[in-house]
Amino acid sequence: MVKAFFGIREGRFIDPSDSRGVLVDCTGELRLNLLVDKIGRERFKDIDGVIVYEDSVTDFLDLFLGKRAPGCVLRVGSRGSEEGAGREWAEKLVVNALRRDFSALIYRLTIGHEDERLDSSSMSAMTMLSTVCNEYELPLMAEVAPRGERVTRENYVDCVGLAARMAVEAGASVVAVPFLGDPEVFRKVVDAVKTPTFLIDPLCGYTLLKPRSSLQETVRSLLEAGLNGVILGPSLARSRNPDKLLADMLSIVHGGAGVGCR
Amino acid sequence: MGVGKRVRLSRILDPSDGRGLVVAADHGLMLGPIKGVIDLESTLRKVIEGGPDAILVSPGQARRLRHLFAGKGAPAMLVRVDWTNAFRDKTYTLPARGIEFCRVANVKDAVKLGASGVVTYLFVGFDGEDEHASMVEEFAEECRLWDMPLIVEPLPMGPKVTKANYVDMVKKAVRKAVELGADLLKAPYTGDPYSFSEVVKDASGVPVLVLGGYRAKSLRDSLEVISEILEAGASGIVFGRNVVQHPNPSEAVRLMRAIIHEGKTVADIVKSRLKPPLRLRVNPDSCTGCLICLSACSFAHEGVFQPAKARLRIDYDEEKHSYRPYVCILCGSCVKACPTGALTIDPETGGLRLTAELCDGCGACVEACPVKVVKLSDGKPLICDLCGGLPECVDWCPTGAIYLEGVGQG
Amino acid sequence: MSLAGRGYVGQVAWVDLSEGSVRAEPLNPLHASMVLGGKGLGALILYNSTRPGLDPLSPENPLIISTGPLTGTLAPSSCRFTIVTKSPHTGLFLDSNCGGFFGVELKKAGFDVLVVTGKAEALSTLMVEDGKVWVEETPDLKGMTTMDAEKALKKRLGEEFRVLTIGPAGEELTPIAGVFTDQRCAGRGGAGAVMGSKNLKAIAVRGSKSISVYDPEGFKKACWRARRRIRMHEVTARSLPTYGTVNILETVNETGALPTRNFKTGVFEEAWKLSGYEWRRSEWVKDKACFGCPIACSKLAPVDGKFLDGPDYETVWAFGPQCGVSDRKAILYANWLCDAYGVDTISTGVIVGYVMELYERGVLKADDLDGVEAKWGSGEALTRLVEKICKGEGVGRELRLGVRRLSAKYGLAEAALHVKGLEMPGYEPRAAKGMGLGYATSDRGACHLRAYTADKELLGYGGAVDPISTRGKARLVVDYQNEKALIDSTGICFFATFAFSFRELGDMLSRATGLPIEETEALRLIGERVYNLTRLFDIREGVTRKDDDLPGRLLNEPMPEGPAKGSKVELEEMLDEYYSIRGWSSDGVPERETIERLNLDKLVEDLPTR
Repeated sequence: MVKAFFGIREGRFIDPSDSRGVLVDCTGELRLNLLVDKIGRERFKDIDGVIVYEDSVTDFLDLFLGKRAPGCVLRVGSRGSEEGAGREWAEKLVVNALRRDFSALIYRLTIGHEDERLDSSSMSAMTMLSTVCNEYELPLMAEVAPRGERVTRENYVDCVGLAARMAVEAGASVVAVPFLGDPEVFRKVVDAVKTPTFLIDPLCGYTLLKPRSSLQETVRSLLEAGLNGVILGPSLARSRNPDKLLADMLSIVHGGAGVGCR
Repeated sequence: MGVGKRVRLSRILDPSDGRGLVVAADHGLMLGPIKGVIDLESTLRKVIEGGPDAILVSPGQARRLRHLFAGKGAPAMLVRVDWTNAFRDKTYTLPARGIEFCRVANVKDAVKLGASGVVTYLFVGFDGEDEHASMVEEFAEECRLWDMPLIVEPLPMGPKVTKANYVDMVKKAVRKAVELGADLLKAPYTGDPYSFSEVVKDASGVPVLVLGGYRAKSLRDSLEVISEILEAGASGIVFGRNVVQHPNPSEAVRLMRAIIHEGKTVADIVKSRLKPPLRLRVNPDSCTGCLICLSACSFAHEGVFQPAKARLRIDYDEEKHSYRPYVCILCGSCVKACPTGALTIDPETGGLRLTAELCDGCGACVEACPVKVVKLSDGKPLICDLCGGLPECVDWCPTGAIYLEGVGQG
Repeated sequence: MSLAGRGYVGQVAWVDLSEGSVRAEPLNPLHASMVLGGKGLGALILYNSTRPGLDPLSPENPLIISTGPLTGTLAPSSCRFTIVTKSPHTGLFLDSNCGGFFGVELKKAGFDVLVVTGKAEALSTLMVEDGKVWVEETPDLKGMTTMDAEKALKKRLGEEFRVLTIGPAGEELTPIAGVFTDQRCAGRGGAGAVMGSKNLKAIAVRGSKSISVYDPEGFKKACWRARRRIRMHEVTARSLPTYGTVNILETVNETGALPTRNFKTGVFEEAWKLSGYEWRRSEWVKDKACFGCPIACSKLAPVDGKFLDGPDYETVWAFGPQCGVSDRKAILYANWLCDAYGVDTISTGVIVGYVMELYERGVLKADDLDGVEAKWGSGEALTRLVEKICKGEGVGRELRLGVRRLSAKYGLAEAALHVKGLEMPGYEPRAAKGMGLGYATSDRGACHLRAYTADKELLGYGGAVDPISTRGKARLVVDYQNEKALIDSTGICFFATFAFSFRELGDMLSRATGLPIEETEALRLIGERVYNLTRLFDIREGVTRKDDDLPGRLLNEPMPEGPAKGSKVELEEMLDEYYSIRGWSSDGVPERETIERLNLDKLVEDLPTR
């Protein structure tokens, strides 16, 4: 596990006392209003951070007031990679995020396309973002989910390793990687990036490998291999007892000292 | 108000009660290495233990110490974006000869740091007023662009400020700050809740936090001020020296929190620190002969000022030119001497109690008192009842020449 | 509507020593509501009971002792009383403010104000005890020092008596003689000579009555808040209690405003020896307070086996830098002499400085000075000259007449540092122009207290102001003069008011008296009214713009060194602005409009015709 230096923004979604965090992705199957319906406002406050689109904060402002509110991570659409993601685009995005006091940006990096220009434009967009993010000291999380045609079950782990490392080299300060099977494999990836690393919800459609054991087991074993936290999405959306699932995750990730280290 | 501003403000003023306890630790920028801020990190760690909502620091310290502000339990960071020499009066190095000010950071810098607000002065009462207001206007514009809360500290300062117009100048400065776009105010207390409630009204809904100023010797004074300003409609405090120069900063913050966020009163806190039985003690070396204790005592019991009606006395030795207070030592001699049982000891307070109907004015108590503080007035003895638990002489004594056993200063 | 029991006692005692009669009159509530008490009430009584041209040493000149509504209460530093009379030194209005315990006792004895006229046949003491006033002949007190006379009376009458005395200098009608009580003094302007001219050696009072207020609970809370302000202010919680008024000396020197060697320059190279720190470290042994004061600015120093209350800033300056002296023991001894013989230390020090300059320039030789070699910096010369002035011995008989009279004889008018005949205190006007304007326009002659602009010009409290510039100084001086006049009419000490504004003061005053004076504008107006009243007295005595002047040195000789190097006082331009702001003519006379706006025409019977 990497205990990196924590600035104020990182500290809003990763607990500095144990360098761990439980995030919930509200940009996929699970949306913010659905999440709150499922787990209630009180439990919502226990979450370390949520990934949202811009409007969510405006629409549910009261959920985000006060010091103990979950940190907000803004998802950057991949549109940028098609339009020619220049400096202006990145700056507009970052400034808007900072105006709304978001704690970080999250950008999904894709590689492995037959047409390598698609790889390159995804990479270039992320690089542009990370340059501006670093200037403005807004943390950038790179979500590494290789989906290109050249990605197979056999080379999946290596593709993830490659993409994760490239992201960090380009300036991302946090990475999120998919389930990779053996915890030892996972450890190697973590060692190679040396930044806080999160697990993408294994039930996400864009991840290839699925774990055989329960999410709780999976997370527990990966924590030992250096994981800093988990991003929940579909697992929470589809769970019969989402409140319990979330409480378990918080307890496991923050080391059983109650619900997170507050 | 934009989303970003609302979210940031909610870290300073707790959404549950709309109040904020902010500790100022930016003095080093204006005054240099004053007591309490020399080892700033260590002081702030103690402060943070008490649970402040936010801490105000200079840009340099904000960057150096930003790890103290990370995490949800940590205080919000406020950054000062301007500098002035105006507070360096003759007690400081290089006393100011005229009022100067300048910018020390851009709002963008505060955004980068992850701050929840920026703070700037606004002085009213000197020739450079308009220039100063322009600088604040620039900050206001930047704050609009970044949706960052602008906290303005409106202060009367300069030759146009006199004793007669001070309160009016505070109001004027507050109104100006509001016009320029302040989201939060850090204003000086005008001394009493009535005049201050007028200041709060002039703020037209912009929340007002009260600044602490020079450190009071006693924490009780700070707590009283806090009580009064809340009563007047203020939303909290920005106290600096009264916290960072206190021997126990975390305790100071904790007690201030109790008043601001937990609804405790000063009387609750003071009483909780008094452990019966109460005993008055005297430190003659500290007595300056001011006789305030006699005035306070006679006023508390008789409603008038007449030192001869006090239940204690001050002895003056001309040769040594020294003063010595004599207070009731609760020896019980007067009780023993009283033939009618009119004098007893009150079990709750431990002080004397006189049942007037039983007293026949014989004066045996006067004779019996070894320190000669009992005297007859209108046929009845004047006796010390410890004012029912909060002795006035102790409260009003300026030097601590009379104090309560077991209760320290502050 | 009577004001008895509302801070005031409600009684004024008129004593005629010639007839041996005493008359008690109720305090006029209208007067009180318009000028409060202290300086204001004293000034009103003086104006209405004298005619212009009166000889200050004649029996008709009233000696007025006036307390304020807050005197004797729980208000902070509520010890003050004011002696108001016509000055034998200047021939003009005099108010001399004093602390200690005398004023409080006078109120407890049943009187807000004591007015003494006439002349006793033999040296006497006026007695006041619980409403009774009578005169006793006390020839045995003749020639006694102030301390000995006070002690003797207390021994005779009882320790609870508080005593006001003059020293031998006052008995000898010295124009710089002051009035003393418990080593505090009403020093300036020669009130001691007025008392001496009435054959009055002392006034002794004792009182067991109580002082009450209109709204006890509200008043107490207001006093508590004011006390809290005092605890939370650097000056009243630390500087004054620790170092007394001497706390400012080094700063005044650093700003080049410490008049040295008779105002030749504003920097004293040995100022460090006279800092508050040095005094506390080497000389002072105890803090001493006046009645009701949490600040305790007085310090006690052992001198000759006794205790001297002092020295304060002005005395340190007058016997120190003013004469080039840095010998603390000499300064202590000089202070002691003045207190014992009953003369004003400021005037005495300025006189010695003037003499030293005459000596330096060869106008006076040692022979003319009974053998004293009056060299700058000589502690011995200082103490010998002071002794002569105090005792009126040898050349002292002439020196004690003050620098204006001396310079009429010896010349060097530009080096006779006075305004209207009153010697100038320890702030260099060339380094603090506001102070200069204040000196020139003060109602009693050169005084640093009427408009203490030094707080902003030199000490930087509440926002520093460029001391050398004349900009805005007229406005500042007018405001400060009005505010000080108000404060001097309340009965509390100026120093307490460093910590709070008129808001707190109005709170205390309105709850004590029930008068509608809570609003700061109401208070400011009273101050302006009082200041115009004293000006009218001076105008009636013939003061014109020519008298609102400064000595030539300050107007024509550029400051030779320090932060104010090259500076001269541009008095004329400040004066024009000052008169305009005040609503006075260009000759310095309050305009009819101003007099009416302030309702002075309703208060005074005989307005000056100019």
